[in-house]
Amino acid sequence: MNPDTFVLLVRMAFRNLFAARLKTLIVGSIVFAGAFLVVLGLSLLESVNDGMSRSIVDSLAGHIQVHAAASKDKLEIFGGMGGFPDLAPIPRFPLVRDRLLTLPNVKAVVPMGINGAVATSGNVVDNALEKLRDSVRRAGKRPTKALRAEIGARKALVRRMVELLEQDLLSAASISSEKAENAVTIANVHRAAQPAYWARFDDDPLASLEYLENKVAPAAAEADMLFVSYIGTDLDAFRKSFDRLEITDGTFVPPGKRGFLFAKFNYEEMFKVKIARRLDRIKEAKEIGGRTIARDPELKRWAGENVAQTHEILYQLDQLGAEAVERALQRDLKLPGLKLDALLAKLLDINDTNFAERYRLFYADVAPSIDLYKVRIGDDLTIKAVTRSGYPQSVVVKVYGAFQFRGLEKSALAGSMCLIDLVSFNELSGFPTTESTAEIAGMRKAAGAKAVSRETAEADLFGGGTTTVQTGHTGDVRIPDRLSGASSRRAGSAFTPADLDRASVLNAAVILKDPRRMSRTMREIEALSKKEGLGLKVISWQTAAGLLGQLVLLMRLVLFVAVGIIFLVALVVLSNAFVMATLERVRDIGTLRAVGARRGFIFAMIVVEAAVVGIIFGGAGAVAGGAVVELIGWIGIPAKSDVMFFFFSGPRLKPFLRISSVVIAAILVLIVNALSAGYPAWLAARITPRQAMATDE
Amino acid sequence: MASIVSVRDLTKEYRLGNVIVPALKRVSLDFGVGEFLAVAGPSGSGKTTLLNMIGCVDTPTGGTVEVDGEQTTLLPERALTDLRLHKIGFIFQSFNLITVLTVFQNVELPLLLQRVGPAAERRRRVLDLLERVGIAPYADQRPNELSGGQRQRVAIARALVTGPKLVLADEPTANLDSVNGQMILDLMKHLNREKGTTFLFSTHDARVMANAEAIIRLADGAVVDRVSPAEAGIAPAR
Ligand SMILES: Nc1ncnc2c1ncn2[C@@H]1O[C@H](COP(=O)(O)OP(=O)(O)O)[C@@H](O)[C@H]1O
Ligand SMILES: [Mg+2]
Repeated sequence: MNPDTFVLLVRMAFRNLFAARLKTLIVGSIVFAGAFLVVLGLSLLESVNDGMSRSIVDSLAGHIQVHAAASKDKLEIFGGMGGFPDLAPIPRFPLVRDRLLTLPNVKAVVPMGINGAVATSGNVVDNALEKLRDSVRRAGKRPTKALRAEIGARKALVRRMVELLEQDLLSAASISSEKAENAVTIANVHRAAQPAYWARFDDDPLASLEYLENKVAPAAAEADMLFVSYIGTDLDAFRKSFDRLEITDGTFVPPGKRGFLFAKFNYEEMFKVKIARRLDRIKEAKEIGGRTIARDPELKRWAGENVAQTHEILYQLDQLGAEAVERALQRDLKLPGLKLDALLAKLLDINDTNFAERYRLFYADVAPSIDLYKVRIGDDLTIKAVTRSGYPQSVVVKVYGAFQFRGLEKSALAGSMCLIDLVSFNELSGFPTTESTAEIAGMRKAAGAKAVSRETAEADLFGGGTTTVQTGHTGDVRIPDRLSGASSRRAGSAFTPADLDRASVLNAAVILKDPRRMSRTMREIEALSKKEGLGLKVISWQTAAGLLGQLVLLMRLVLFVAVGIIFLVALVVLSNAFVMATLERVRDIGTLRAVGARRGFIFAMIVVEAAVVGIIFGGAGAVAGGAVVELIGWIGIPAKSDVMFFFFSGPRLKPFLRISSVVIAAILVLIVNALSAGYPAWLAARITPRQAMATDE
Repeated sequence: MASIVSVRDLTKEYRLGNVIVPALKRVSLDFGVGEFLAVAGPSGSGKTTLLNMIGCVDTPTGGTVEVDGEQTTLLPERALTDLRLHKIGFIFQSFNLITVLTVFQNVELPLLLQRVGPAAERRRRVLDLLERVGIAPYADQRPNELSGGQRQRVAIARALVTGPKLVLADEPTANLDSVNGQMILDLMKHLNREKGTTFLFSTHDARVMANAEAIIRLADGAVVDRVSPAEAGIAPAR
């Protein structure tokens, strides 16, 4: 087409559009809205997708996951519907790691294993008993008056705990089927709850304590079991590769040490005193979510539960502590006559006006006298798992601290997996480890002529470099006792690099230098595995994230359906509008034909008109959409729930405009316009010169 | 005198539902280059239909039309379009200007369709013609800002701008008062004499017929005769 003719067509299009201003405006606003929504929607989706992928990649998954191709299950890093995946160990992991590191785009390979188990702490009963024993020891034969008072207070606390424990056990037994098994435990606890037992306590305090420690405390531990999910990994490598990890409490596990790190969110959620946790959550809901106790049923329920469950705190306070808290609360609540339980109920009876003050008072007056967490940083944690071969297995590890991923502090998902050293993980899974092998050897020898203590065996193995080793652990070659706190023993607290290399690895995160080349690197790993017989299955983080990864897919689908609907509506409306516009111009078009315009010219005229609408209004819509995206990106959309924190990969989603969104919007607008103009343009081209004579009506 | 239009046994029937309306019945006529002819007849006699057939704006039911040596009944659609563009100027009874274009652009349109370039050349030709028909001062106005006579001048300019051999005008004065009508006829006559352009215009007004060299009289879709104004008993105009 001649450029001058094109200019004429454009000019005519503008004139025609201006002549039919109202119609143009209606059609234009649809095109505008379409382009606007597509740009906005795509940008938001891309940003959420981006945030989510960063959450998944940066917290646990890495860019690529590899596991043994021989595995029964698929790897699901956040746990699937059916619990944790059953994966075969990666054969010769150190070799696999070294080979993968030869690929140019591979930055790091972090060994992993995912599992879950129940964990029990040196529980509250244990702690109380420990204090009581300490008092008894210090009192000796001739206790001072003060010490006698202290022993009395601590005894009273233990006694109250035993009474409460008995109630708990009885109510648990009434809903449990394993009656016979629990009967012994209940009988033991029952005996310790009798006044007669406490009357005779001082006859032989040490024997009484022993009974409580061996027969009663384990039952409490049992009642206090909590489920933890954990990733067994080379902790140092993990920390280096997942650099959003930060320690919130305690310290990182020192190199070469066994140890456990709580995921902060999980720690707060599961291990913190419930009343304190609820107060924290109410505070958060009020501050971040903008919710109120008055109008939010959930907050109201939490507040009610706090008032009803003050025994959670009373249970922890011995007489002296109770008196201290009582005095403080009487003073600060200005209720001098009231007793402790009434004071606590009063303190926790919150509303939107007094909340901030009550929150402060709780942490100032009550918290210092109790253990805020069931497991304290520095405590030993007993983890009881079932090995792969079906035996119960337990390991005791020290809790060094708690961690979170920067930006994902509030996410339950990113904060659900605790970390444990790979060697302990291996023991829990029942893989033979250096230690268990040594233990077997030790036991063999012990069973033979000479008794060799485990300490010696370990010292030999560890080159005598470790001094804190106390004892071995229960390997699954020995049939351990039934799942019970009494069977757990402290594991050796250190391991060597050789132990780490020998440890079984179930899956490994591959961290890339350039994430954009992920699919290429995946193919390279596959090729390498095939060539060298490494037996690896290679999956992307999306696949590894299981349902979560598919969520992005789902969101995408929803968006595409929405875009599709916009597309169809726009198509129908625009097509109609252009047909109308054509029919109104039959006479003009006929005239053009009569003076010598070819059909192609008429066709082009309608198409150019549609294109002008598309470019002007679609362009304006895209620009407006982009501006809104930038504006939102500047302010940020606050995450109002823990799931949103994960999706947004931080407290705020800051969407940013991508060229791709604009290009897609532009292409869509052009397609819609071309399709909707096509039929009317065809109609127009069929108008005959004779129709120039048509009357205007 | 070379023949420019030759019509043989031209028949046109319109279909109105089940009724067939014969508009032209075996019409035959010839006329030569440079003639200034009127087609006359009462309303409904087939004048418009005849002009449309000759102007390739509509297709006949039977018979043949030859324009400048081309058998239009044998030509494909696109060739007919090009014939209209290059050889024929059509002046509509109700002007049929494109309302969204200015006077200048309306007249320039056929040149653009003919791909006449460059723009300066087109501009020269358009302005020259606007000058000639006396509406140069209105070049940048829209048709709806002009009077009927001015609009018809624009229509004439558009029909003539490409320098067609044949100009067809369907009742060019019917929508004008007698003063304006006479001015238009004078303009057409002037162009006919100056450039030798063949004009065929229809009318049912005796005063208009008086301007023609010859009058082709139609009645009920058939040619009655071809006469001079004098033979028709009309005093020739000036
Ligand atoms: N589009 C049409 N459909 C049906 N009949 C038509 C049509 N156009 C013209 N006619 C009929 O054809 C005859 C000739 O009409 P026309 O050529 O317009 O006559 P004139 O221009 O002399 O008034 C008339 O009877 C008219 O009713
Ligand atoms: Mg007519």
